[in-house]
Amino acid sequence: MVATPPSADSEHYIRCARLTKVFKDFWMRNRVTAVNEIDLDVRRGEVFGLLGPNGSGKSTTIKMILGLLHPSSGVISVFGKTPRDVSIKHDIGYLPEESYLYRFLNARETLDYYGKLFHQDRRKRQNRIDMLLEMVGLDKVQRRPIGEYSKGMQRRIGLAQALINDPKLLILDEPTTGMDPIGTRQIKDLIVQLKESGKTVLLCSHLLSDVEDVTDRAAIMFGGKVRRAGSIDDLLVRHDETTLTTPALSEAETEKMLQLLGKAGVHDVKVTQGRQRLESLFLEIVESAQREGVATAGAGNAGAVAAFLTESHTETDGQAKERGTSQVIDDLLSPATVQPSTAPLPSNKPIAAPVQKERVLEELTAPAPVAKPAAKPTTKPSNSSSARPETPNDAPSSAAPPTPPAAADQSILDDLMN
Amino acid sequence: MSKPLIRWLLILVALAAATAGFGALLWAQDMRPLARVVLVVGQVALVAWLTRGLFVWRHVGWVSQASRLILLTLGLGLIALLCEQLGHRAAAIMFVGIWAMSAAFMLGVELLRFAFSPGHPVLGVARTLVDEAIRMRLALVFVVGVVLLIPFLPFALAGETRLQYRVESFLTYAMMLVTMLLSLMTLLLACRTVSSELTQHQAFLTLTKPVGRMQYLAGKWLGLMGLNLLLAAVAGVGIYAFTQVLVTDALAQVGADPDRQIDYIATQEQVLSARRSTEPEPVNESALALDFKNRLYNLRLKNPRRFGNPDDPSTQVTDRQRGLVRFEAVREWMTIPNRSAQTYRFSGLEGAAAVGPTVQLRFEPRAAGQLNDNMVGLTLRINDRPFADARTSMPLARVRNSTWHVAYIESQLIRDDGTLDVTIFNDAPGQPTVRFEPNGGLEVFYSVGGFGPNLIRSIAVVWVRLAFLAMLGLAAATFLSFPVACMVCLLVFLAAVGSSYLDKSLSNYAAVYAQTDGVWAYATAAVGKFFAKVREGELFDAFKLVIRLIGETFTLAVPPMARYSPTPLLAGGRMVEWSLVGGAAWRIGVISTGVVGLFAAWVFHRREIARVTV
Repeated sequence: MVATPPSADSEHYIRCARLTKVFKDFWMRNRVTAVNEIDLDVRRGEVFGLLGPNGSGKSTTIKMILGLLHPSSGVISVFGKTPRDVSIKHDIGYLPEESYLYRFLNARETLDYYGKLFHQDRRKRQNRIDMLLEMVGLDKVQRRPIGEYSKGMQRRIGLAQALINDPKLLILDEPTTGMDPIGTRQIKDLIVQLKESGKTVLLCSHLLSDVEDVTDRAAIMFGGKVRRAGSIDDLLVRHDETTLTTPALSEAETEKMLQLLGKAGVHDVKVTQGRQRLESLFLEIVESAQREGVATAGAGNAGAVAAFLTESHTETDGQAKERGTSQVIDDLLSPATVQPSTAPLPSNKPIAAPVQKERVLEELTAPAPVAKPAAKPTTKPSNSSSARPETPNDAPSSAAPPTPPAAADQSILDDLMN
Repeated sequence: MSKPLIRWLLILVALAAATAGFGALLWAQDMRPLARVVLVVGQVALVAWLTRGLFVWRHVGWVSQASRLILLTLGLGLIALLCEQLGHRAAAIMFVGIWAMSAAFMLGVELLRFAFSPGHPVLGVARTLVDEAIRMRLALVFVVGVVLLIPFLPFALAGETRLQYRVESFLTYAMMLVTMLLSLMTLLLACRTVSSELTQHQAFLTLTKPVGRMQYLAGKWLGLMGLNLLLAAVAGVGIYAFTQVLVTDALAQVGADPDRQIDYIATQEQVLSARRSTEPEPVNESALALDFKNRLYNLRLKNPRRFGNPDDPSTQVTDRQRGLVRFEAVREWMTIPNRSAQTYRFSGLEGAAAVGPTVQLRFEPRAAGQLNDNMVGLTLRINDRPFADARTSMPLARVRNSTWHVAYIESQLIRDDGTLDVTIFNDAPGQPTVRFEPNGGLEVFYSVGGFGPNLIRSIAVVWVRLAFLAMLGLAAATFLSFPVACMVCLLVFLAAVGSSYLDKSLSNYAAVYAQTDGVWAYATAAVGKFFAKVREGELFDAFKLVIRLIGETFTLAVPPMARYSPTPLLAGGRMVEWSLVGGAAWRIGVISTGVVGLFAAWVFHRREIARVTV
């Protein structure tokens, strides 16, 4: 039985309670339980990741949230209403996992069509279409039929259609599938920027690094059930390992460090040379080629985030009036050329920063981080997407001060100081 | 429009105006050689500037359309010119017709897209359907069929020697062609657009926007109807134009040939007009009533169980049986034995007396026996005066058996009360009995309107029929796959078109006699007969009854399109009455389309759009 949705709650855009979807065969026998009594809630203003391997029930859940499938039992509430209520769809943007666009329309006609579905008048549609096409870098190929687009270009125009109504809630199903690293990075940047402008994003993916970069909270599904859920920080912190990041050390210095750690009883230490991320290298090369003016037949440079996507929410929050709209846009917009993430990657920081090794050692051995060795590690970055380590090797040192395990405690540090 | 584009347009207009202005000025000043030079140079510059602009701005929608139109005009114009030069005037006219219909269609599509451009979901869906129809080539095949075949038909029928038959055949084939092509296009397009959007998931995106499912279907239907309206209009104009081509061409060849003159006049009066007809009535109704009573009495004597006791009132005779007996009596009354005569009264002709100089007596004599030369000799008297044809001033000549003939009668002979008595003598020695079929075998026609409005009403009926087919296709595709939906729709379409034939066939296949009228009485009688047949061991007859019941249930559900067929009326020069258009609009356009539409909305509202097959 599907119960009526719970009452409206302005802090929860999506609420699912004991949500179940069973697919039946022709004889109405249960064939597959795609979603099995899951509880989910997506709060206003957050980026929520729905993770899981193929066939775990992510897309089925999203389709039930969108009203494309009906739950077998349980409750779904979107903006406090049932998903089949057409009125809620004014505030939803949806990017499906594949291109479900009309192949015979060109990019401009596609956006025009979806704009009409939101009752937008011609002037408003045209303004938004211009901004969105520039934002996704398809303004130069806007007259080509979608059927001639590459998969990545189709994803871009799919993203643009999801944003045509300036949605409060953006549902992205595998948004980076088929995208090149530039597009992937741009989408991740966009998600961060949309979040900063007050929008809520439900991100469904099995590309975990993408999700990790941008989400605040996540639920991991398997076999139709939610196995783990919570904030990304809570989910990812490892209590049995500490990562130290230093400027490049000589062999002797490394050896000395290992000896010191050995004296403290820490023997299982792994030392690796710092590496640049492949994504950063790729972006550098493309940026360089673009500076040289090398032509491409595909999507062009992505432009700034469409102004209407950031205007409405800042105005709603009363912030635009204080800072001025242009200031808000300036703050949010990235330059027209491909840039590294506005949520800066660790690899974009200077790898060999001119920092005195001694000073590093002093900082490392400063007593402050170990003042409470028994305390729970608190690697809380100021910006969840920018300061979070992507691999143990390139974990940032400044934003997330290392917290040694309780076993190493004060004695190791004493040795280091001697 | 961007500034460079506006600049290009302004220069184009300025160039055209300057060329025309200077040329005219110099011409008026009698500086003709210089005027010619200016005109030539100006035109060359104009063409060059136009070509450059069309190339540079080819990505702009309307420029691209204009380019296509210009290319089409140039291409077909050159071919038509070539045909004309080579002496193939018919081919030249055909290509001009193809160009005109194609250009009208292209412009119409742009108008349609403009009409669907406001920001509303229903209009958005409708416009996308139009784009889909044109760009995915499915509809284009049928459009090309209409645009090519209508201009081709008049010349394919050149074998007909008489203009009247040629025009009749053209109208019949053209209307059938348009009806069939547009019906198939509508069904295929309606089935395809919904089923493909469900299987290829475009509907996922549309229906996650603030678009109700009813709005989605309404948009699809509106788009289909818009496209049908455009095509029906283009086809209608094409049919009208080529009818005029046929007639004008014939007029040029009439000359002093009296046969051709008569043929031309007959075409104008019997085909290219809208005529009403009236059926004959007996001058003495009581004689017919007495005949009917006697027949009923005899039937009761023979079969009192079925027709009731002869001494009882006729309560046990159904209206249907009564109608059949009456039909037999009328048939008898319309039969004229040798050396006898019958007078038929035509009434309600007040309007005819006021309108035209003549009315037409249309008849088809059928001799009951063998004739040596297959000719029938009849003598007519009109209002008890000898008949003389209003065209030829001659009495009726011997006419061919089982063939339609028309005799012109002066309108002034119609009495003030609108009646006209026609007495027919079967007075040729040794000639067998001659009869006229009731319901159409003997009629008086009079003109009440022109061909153009009649064609418009015919096209309107066709369009109403397409409204049902569009909704049928959409409804089927909401829960069936494309091939299955197509098959179901074609079955319903064929049953609807042949509904009257199916009814007759089923009645003859397995007879059922009900004691009283009404569906319940009929159903009780049918079921009773079924069990009686089973008891008697006549299982095949019982099976035939089941087949009849299934067939009748099906024909009851489909709209009676055969009843609303304008083609025979149009080709026969009969008035396509507004009552027919209104009846079609109500019965097919509102009731049938509405019922199917509600069914589609119910199914589509309930179904899971993203249903997964596992």
